Amino acid sequence: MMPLSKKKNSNKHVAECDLSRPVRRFLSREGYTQIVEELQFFERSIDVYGVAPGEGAKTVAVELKLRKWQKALQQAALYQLCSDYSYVAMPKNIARGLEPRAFSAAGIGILAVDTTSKAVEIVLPAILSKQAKGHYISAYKEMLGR
Amino acid sequence: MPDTEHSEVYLRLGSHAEKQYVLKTFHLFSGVLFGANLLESTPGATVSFAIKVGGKGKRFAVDPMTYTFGMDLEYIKSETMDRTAKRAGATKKGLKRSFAKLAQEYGAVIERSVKKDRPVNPDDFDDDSIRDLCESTYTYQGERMLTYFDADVQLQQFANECPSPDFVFAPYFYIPYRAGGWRKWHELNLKLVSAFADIDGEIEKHGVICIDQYVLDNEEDFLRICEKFLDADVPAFWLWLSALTEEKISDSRVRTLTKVVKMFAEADRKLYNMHGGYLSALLGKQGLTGFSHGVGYGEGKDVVPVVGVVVPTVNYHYPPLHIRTSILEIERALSELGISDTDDFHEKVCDCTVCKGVLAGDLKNLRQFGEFILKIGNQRESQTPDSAKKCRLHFLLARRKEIDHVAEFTAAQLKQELGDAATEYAALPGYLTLQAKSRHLNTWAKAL
Repeated sequence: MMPLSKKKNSNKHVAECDLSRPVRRFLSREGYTQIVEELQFFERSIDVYGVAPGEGAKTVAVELKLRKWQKALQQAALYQLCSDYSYVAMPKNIARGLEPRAFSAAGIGILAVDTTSKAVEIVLPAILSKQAKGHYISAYKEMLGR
Repeated sequence: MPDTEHSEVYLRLGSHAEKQYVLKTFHLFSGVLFGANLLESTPGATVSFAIKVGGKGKRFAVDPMTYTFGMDLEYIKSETMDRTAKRAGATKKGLKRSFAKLAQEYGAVIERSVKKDRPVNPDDFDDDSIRDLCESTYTYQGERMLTYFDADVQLQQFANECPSPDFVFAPYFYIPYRAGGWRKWHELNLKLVSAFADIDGEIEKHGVICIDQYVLDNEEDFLRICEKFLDADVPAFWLWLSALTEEKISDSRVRTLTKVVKMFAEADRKLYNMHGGYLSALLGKQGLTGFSHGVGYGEGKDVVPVVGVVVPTVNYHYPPLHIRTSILEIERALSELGISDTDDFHEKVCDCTVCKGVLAGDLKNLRQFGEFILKIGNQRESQTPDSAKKCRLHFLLARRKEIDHVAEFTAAQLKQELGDAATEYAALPGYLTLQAKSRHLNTWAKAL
């Protein structure tokens, strides 16, 4: 008798933490040298938050998600209040299949993470947030700059 | 001229920590309810509180909480230091003192089963013990506070100032509608409320129908269950649909609930929702007399208590949707809702004195309703007490406005208003969480 085979899901072995290191490295290369994970924003927790210091310093928030892109989009939209740019990062095979219109309407970018090679690619660039509140951003800039 | 009477709204005092909110706002509501366990654990504070409420002409009543003795007793147990143990730091688990005292007060059946460390079940009761429980429960609610006055030398001379509850609840147990044997619990509750109605006593008697919310999925059963309660000669009933969350209720459940409300109104009986919110206020248009809720906010309650150590965040009550939600989600949606300054906010969201005081002309101050702080020993930040306080006081003021609003407008106007709000919020982009949180508005409109 043939043994019952378990369905293998290629994403099953990928966890959100597998996305965070490549994303951190990517942000660092983009100039965001001050990076923190799990930054609390009210009752939420921003997966990755970065500050690119210097004159005209800019900030970025990244929501890491394996599957539920709608939820990721809603969370990233909230983070537009406290960051100049807001992204959703997902495994490459999912990120590339996303319908970009919902993201572009919100000005939220999409990052595709190759969990094997650890390469990160911008599928959709984020637009400078019109929702960003100076009082939130400046507090985080100061905190990360310490 | 209001379109209908105002819904009677009772605040439930869950603990004395909530007293500051109730004392500041109870004059806006019909009265206050508190659990018998609170009276037992802190009699002095509870009695002085009842004097304040009664002194202002507001109604109060004591929930006898008898249902807890029909549930797993683990829910009403706590761990305490075992002073009889030889080993230092040893603990023991036993019934909480307040419930142990209640068990003594409520007569032989409950006392016996507690001694055996098991909950009561319908087979424990015969006609005599039913009468005994009814009499004990009536006496307890009517006289427990007076007993406290008499027992205290300093208070004895003020015994005539001791408040008496405005109404008393019949003993009640949870009807586990989806479990086998629920009919026996139903029968027991019917017998209890009928026997309670027969007791000689001046205080107005109310029945309680405490049942699994899933009964709403079977209209025929629910109507039949309630119809049998109407045989009892009491003027009012309190309905507790365990764990029902008003904003998650389905269309069909709203229809069933509405029919039940109408049935009680047609039978000329008062019906209250024991744990309700804005939907219950709307149901006032169909004959629901009133409802009760806590201060932050307790608009739904499961008979199974929440066991946990995390203190929940008190979110902002958002009047346009009549639900609580994160201040962050509101702040993110402001521009899409056309709210650019505090004048817009007060016009479209809330103009209560708390909101006006907190915002003080600057929308940036909205964050005060959701401030977090890292407390010593914790890994995650939690809401500041000041922020929770602001949210609770705003909620109570906003609730009062909601009740006035429902009374003032006709059912047709309210239905139109809910529909308009549903359309406005459905048109928001999907990335705003408030869009998905507005779906209940169309469902609630079906109650009108």
